[in-house]
Amino acid sequence: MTDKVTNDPADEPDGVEDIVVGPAGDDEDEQNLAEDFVEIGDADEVPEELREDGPDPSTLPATGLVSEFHDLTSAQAAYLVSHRETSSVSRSPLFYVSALLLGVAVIAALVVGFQRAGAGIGEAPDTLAVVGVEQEQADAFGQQLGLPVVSVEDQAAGEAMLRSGEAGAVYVMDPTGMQQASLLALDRDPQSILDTLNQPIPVDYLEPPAVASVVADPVAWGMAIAVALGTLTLGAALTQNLRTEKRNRLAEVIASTIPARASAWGRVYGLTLLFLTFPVLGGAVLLVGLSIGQRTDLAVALLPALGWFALTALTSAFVVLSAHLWASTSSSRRVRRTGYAVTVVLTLAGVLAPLVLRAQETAMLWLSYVPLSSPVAMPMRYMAGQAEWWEGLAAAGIAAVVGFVIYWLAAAAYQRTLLRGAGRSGLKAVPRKRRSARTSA
Amino acid sequence: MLDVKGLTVTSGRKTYLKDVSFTADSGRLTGVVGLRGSGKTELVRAIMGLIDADEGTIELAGTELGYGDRQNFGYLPSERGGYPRMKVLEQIVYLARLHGMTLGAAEKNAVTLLARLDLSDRAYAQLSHLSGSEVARVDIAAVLAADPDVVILDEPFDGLDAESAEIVFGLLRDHADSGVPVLFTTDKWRMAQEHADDLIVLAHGRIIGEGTFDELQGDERLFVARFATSEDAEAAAARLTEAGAESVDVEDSSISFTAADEATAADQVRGLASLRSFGPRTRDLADLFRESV
Repeated sequence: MTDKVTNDPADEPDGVEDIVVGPAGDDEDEQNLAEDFVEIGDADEVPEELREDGPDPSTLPATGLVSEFHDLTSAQAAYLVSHRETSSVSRSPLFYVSALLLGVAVIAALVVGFQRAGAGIGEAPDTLAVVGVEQEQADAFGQQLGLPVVSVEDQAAGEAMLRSGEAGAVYVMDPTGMQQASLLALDRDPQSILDTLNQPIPVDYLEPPAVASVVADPVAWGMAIAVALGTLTLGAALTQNLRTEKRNRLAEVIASTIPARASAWGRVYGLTLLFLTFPVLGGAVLLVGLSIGQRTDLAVALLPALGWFALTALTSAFVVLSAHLWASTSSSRRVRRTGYAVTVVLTLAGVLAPLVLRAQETAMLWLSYVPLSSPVAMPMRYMAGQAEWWEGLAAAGIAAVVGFVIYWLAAAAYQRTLLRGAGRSGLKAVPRKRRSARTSA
Repeated sequence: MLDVKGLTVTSGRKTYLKDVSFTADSGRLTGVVGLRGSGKTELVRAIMGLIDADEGTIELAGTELGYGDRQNFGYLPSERGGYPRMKVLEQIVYLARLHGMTLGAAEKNAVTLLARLDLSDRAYAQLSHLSGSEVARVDIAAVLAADPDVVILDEPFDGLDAESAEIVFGLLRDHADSGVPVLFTTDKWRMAQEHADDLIVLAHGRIIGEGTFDELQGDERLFVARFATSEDAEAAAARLTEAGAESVDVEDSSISFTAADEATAADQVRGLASLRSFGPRTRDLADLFRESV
């Protein structure tokens, strides 16, 4: 006899209602197993709060896709483009390396600044003017010190020599003889004279600078590096992304969905804002470094220059990135390369010119208003105490106006040439109208 | 329903499209097939409004399309790649949002499409890390994620392996079934023949054939007769031509010709010297194209 069970009712053992029949003991196991399960019944019996919130499957299309739209304005389209550009560039190794280089450059500038301050490197002449002594006495004094010493009749004559650069300092004795003598310098420590005197002596300034030149010079170099590194890195990324869009014909997808000007504006303003990373990073490293070096007084003195630097650098970055957009729109490879090279050269020349011409006050005045050089020249003038508060604002305004003019030309060229290089040339990008909102489940 | 009426596109002396008219019906896959340089890409770009047509109009559901009316057209250009450094999911969501789709819907659709295209495990990979077939599928997902009102694909088979092409066409079929006109171009005759409901055959910027594959085949059928030698085949071809047979073509020791039906063809070959075999031959789209050109 076998225990085989079939679906034939005739095979069903007497007294057994369940079609499943097992060996002895199974009934008990089955009972235990049944106790482990909770009967949930039909879906209708599931409490409302426990039901999954989802669409009715019968109403979903075969594609399984939802279709929810909103009016996409030009500003929103520009935001989407800018978000894509900034998130893509900020994750690129080029951006990381540039930011790292800037940090290293600022730290190097700090070290150099501290060393120069410690070593007392100055550029003042080493001639000492002494007030109210005979020339013979002055000569003897000079012979004793090993310095050229000249006699002047009064302090005014000494100040004239300081301004003309004939003397590095004026030795001023207290008329009452009650107090210590002091040195009068133009705008920086007469370090060689101080070293020769070999005694602590107070120094007064005829034109006291906000920041000593030994610190201001490395800071200005740091600013130049920040502007050059930031604008050239982001400019290269902008150019590369535009070429990718042309090569993969993504430009056609963009042209068929959003206005060309929204695409142009999105990438320029997004990368301009991303550029702020560089001055903010550089400024933060500088201020932290000065604080660690226990030069918080210097950090505070640098703040106005750093603030105006950030503003003028931002507007100048707008100029440079607009120029990069303009240069990269051409369908001619030669024109693109030439435009890119010219933009790079102008940017580097702009940031380096103030460092080269820093001794010439008139040149610095002009450079502080010229976009590209203003982010370096204007803070240098602030650090030297030569600029009024409104001059930084004026320089930033000029750069912004120039930037908008270049951007307008670049956007027009971008719109005109968006589809060139991706097929037949001479095609006009299409202006887009707003679409009506469409929402459906 | 997408209507193309009298489309002519020229540039200088070159004519890319000449008086092209056809209809891509909603709910059907329309394949534009032709050799490279036949004007397929220009046709697609003109439909998308990316180039100005010298003459002709494009209408959607009876309304002529102007600038700005194609925002929810799903468009696949002939080049592949997208943004190489962007993650797959981000890329699809970004392109869907350019159509005005909400973020939530774009993300949901992207996930759904990646699952259907067997790319779920690549959602967070950079596009540059994907294989050519995967990139091609991502591009398809990017086109469909905005649940477009019209789908226009330029050479969608490029970069796709046979299995992926089947998956992609399953998706496109679903879109067509949801009432969307789906138009694609290709130079792969067999793929077009297998997947398109309606075919537009393009040559030198002109339509030389239009309709379903059965309609394109027409009433005449192709028959093949094989002979002992090529000389016999040549002689038989001459006799068939004299007897009024059409499209007679000799290849080695066999000849092909068209006839209305098998009985007519059998009558024509009956009595030919050294006939070895005779029978019908199925013409594919490539044969039809060759005959037309």
